[in-house]
Amino acid sequence: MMVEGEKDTPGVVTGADFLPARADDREPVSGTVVVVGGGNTAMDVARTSWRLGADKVIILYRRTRDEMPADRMEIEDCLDEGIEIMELAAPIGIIAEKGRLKALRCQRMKLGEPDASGRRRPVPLEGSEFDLPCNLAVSAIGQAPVLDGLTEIGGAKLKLTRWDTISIDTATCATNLDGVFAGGDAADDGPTVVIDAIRDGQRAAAAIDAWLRGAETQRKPFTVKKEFWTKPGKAELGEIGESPRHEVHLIDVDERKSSFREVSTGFDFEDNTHECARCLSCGCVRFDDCALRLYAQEYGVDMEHFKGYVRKHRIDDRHPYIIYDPNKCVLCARCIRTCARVLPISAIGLVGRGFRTEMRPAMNDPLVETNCVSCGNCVDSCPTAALTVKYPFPGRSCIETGDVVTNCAFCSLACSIKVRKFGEDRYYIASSGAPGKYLCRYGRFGNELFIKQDRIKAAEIRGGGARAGASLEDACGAVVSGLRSAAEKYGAGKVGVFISPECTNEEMYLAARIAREGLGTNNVASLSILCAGRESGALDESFGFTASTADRSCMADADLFICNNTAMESDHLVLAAEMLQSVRKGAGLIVTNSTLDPADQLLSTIAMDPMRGRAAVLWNGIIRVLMNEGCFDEKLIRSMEGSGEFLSGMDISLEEAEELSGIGRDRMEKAASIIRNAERIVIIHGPDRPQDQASGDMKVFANLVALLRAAGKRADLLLPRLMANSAGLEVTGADPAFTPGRIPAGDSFKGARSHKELRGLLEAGEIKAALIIGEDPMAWGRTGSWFGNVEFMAAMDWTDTETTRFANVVLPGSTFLETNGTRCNFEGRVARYVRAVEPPAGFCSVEILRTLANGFGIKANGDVASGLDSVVAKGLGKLVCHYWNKGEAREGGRGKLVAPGGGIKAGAIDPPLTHSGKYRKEIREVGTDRFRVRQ
Amino acid sequence: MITTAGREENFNYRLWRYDGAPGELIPLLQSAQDHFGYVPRKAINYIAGVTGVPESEVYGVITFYSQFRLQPMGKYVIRACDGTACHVSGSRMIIDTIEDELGIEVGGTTEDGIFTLNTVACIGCCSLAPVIMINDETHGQLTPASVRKLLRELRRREKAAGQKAAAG
Repeated sequence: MMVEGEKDTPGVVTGADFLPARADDREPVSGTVVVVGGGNTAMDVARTSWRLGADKVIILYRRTRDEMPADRMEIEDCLDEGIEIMELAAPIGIIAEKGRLKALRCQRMKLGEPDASGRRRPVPLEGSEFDLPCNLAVSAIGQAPVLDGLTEIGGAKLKLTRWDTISIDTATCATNLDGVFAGGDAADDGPTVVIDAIRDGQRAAAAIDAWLRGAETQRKPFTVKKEFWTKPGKAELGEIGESPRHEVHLIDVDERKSSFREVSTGFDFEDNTHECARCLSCGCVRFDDCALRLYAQEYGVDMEHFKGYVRKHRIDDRHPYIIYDPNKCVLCARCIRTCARVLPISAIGLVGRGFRTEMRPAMNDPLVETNCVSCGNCVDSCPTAALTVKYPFPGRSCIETGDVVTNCAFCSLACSIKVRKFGEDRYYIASSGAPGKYLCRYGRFGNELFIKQDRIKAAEIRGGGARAGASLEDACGAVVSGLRSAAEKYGAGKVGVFISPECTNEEMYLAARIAREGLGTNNVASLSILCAGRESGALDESFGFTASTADRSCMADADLFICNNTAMESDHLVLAAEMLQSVRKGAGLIVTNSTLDPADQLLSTIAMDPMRGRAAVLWNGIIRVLMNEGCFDEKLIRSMEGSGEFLSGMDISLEEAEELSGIGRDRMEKAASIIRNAERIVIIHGPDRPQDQASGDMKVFANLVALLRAAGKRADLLLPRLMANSAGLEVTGADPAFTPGRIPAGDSFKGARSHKELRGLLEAGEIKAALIIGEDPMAWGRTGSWFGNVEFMAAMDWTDTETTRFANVVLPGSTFLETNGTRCNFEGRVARYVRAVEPPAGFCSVEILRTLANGFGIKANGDVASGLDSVVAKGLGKLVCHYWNKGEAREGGRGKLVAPGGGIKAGAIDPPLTHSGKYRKEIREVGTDRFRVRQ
Repeated sequence: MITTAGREENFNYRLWRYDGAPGELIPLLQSAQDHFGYVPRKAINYIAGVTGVPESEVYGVITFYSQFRLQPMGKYVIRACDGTACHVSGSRMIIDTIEDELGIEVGGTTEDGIFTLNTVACIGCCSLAPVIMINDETHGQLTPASVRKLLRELRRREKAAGQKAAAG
């Protein structure tokens, strides 16, 4: 207070002494208390005194209430509590009686000219002295740091401010002395609140770290706010109205007296929701990695040079997943190059000229109505936030909490994906970020499937028509007894376990063990594969295995691609992009599909559209041309294994092939001449795609590969599957023909020996009890009728399907993002999957299957994965490189010729029984070759 | 004057003799515009198909060059002068008035296909500033009121002609 006697008169204390003493010992206060000062400390002293029983509390301040540095809320609460604020008065002396404080001598003030801090300086009024009687006077007019012994370091003087605090660069907390940093109450603007000291500590830590490493100290991040250009107006805010902040709830004044209960009770849940909803989410989602912002920071851009008129462009958010904001576009055209050169799409281009230029699709149509395939790779290529994805959850400027790298399980490519998480159960999918890594629309946006649907969160048992929740143990017990009693009643051959080809190897392995060891049946398979009419091991006769004969690296230096029954652009975009790199370098491309994509037609050397289901005939015709022309001469063929069957089967004449396939001889000859001139050939055939399946097509391509290899060329067959783990079924034993490790199933189990037999059982309605994992046969007439006679059905899935609605017991499944495990991709590589998101049921499907296996008395407690690995690797033996490919070299066997098939029957288009199959169908149904989404 | 038949032949001929050589896109677009008076969506689609240049790129080329139009020209093409003399005499106000009266922006055509509005740098009669040309007729020393009157008169005349044609 700077008055005589303030240090030694009893009854006169400082706020900094008063508050800590009273915090430990709530000694009551009586009489009148005068608090001198206008800061938060003064308010605390006044309110504490009032609570401790003071009769009257007066705050004495030399300026007016408006100049008080205390928080507004504190001042208002003081007034509520009946504390008096005496403005424009300051103490000038202490009046003591019997050695104790009696009154404070005060003087009235008036406000004069503003001082350096901008506040008006109080000027004493002469002759206005008065005495303020009081029992306790607390001075709370601020503290000053004691810098004794700190002002001189190694003979150099530390620079101080005029308030005797240490002068610092506020961005780095550096003082004038190299290597000396200061912060908190001792520096700059002196004593403030703790949070400011914490901020200083953080800044100083970063600066000290940089100083120690000799690096340049981090500058303040470069930012530009919207207000810099123009204050956001109606155009930006649109229909958003004003929404005032909720008042904080306070307890009654009566309750506050003589208690130290917290005055503010905070926000209720509804208030919180309201407050959060007030956020306009106007922050930029690419703040952290916007290349433009980082360059601006690196080069120290001064935005004042750029002030002036800005053209406002219309933001396009009509696409279901992608937002384009031309106002943030730097016209680098990376997105356009990615779309046109990396992917064969070309949906977007630069439109207009000069400052008006924007990136737009042709005719300024909405992007979703063009040939855009919604893969979102343009978003990855964008260096700024001009192209961003719509998050599948509200709040665009959420703070990311971590990334989990795993693989995609929408098809068998198993592309690496990054699950970017925003707290609990909020995430979106991005590409792994490695250069040259792309994603397709399923990989990037397919997770909307998991987010939009209601999940099954607990096990359920159906009793008397209604389904009731049950514990996992009870449900598993019900499944065990249901399946077992049916197996006892009708025989083990009449029960079956069916598993989706999208499940992990571990799930398949457990399903296979449950069927064979738990129920004693060989009836374990995927309904999708059964329904498609495919036999496992179609290439076994030719190569000894049924898998891709090489991994995707063979595409890099190939000089000819043959694509049959593929819709690369819509099903396997990433593979198409890889193929395209070689095609652009000059590799040839032969496409045979009953319907041709525009991209196929533009990119291919020759595109042929045989009638549906007759691709095998066409390719036998082309082999016939190659034989006639001497590429594969009689002597060469005779020298090969299986040549007899092959030659007797190759009875098709060119004329017949021409007539049956609908492709003219000239085009077959052209295709043959391209093949003859090629040296490194890659055949890509889609074995799962139902549209252009032809009986015997796999064998025809196997023959072609064997013949080409015999003729001294490099030839490989790639089989990209539509379902993530179709290849894993045979290997893990979830196949009636094979036990784990692809060992042919002997006669030790009851039930079917092959897919054909199992399909026969199903079609005859002989299956009496079934466990169905992740497939939905009941949604379709054809497959639903297979289960017409079941007495017990258990279904495991992550969302309600027709099958779970029909089932007696439902087990909660999990999505591929929620399950640890491995899948066998189309190259035979084992892809690892990580539990990136927590399953809503609390446990993932492999854990449930393990419980179920225990229920059947199967020992599966140990680590299934390692057990599976060794079992499979042991069983596979020399074939391990084709199924459990870990990157080692593959042997290039010549292969054996087999009798060529060549049926001419077009199969029905199978109903999609899996979730990703359904999702794919939905998207495709919206537009045949154009992707449109119904909102 | 080239007859319609002649122009059609020209466009078709160009497409027909196209042999995949690069650099033919602009001549093809020009002949399409010669033929139709503008470049219609169908022509873009067709040219993209023939040349193998993606539609998005064709559209980019069209919007880059001011010679290409994506909409047919109106019956009356208004060229509003925004040269120095007209500009200082308030041509901006005249252009705003035309935009307001017709409900279009510079470069646009009214929905009924009667008016197209363009600006030009100077039409060489600065003494009459502010000045506009409607087809080949020059109108000078305009005020917002007089330009409104002029446009309404033309529109009335068109309406009458339309009714007469309908009645006849």
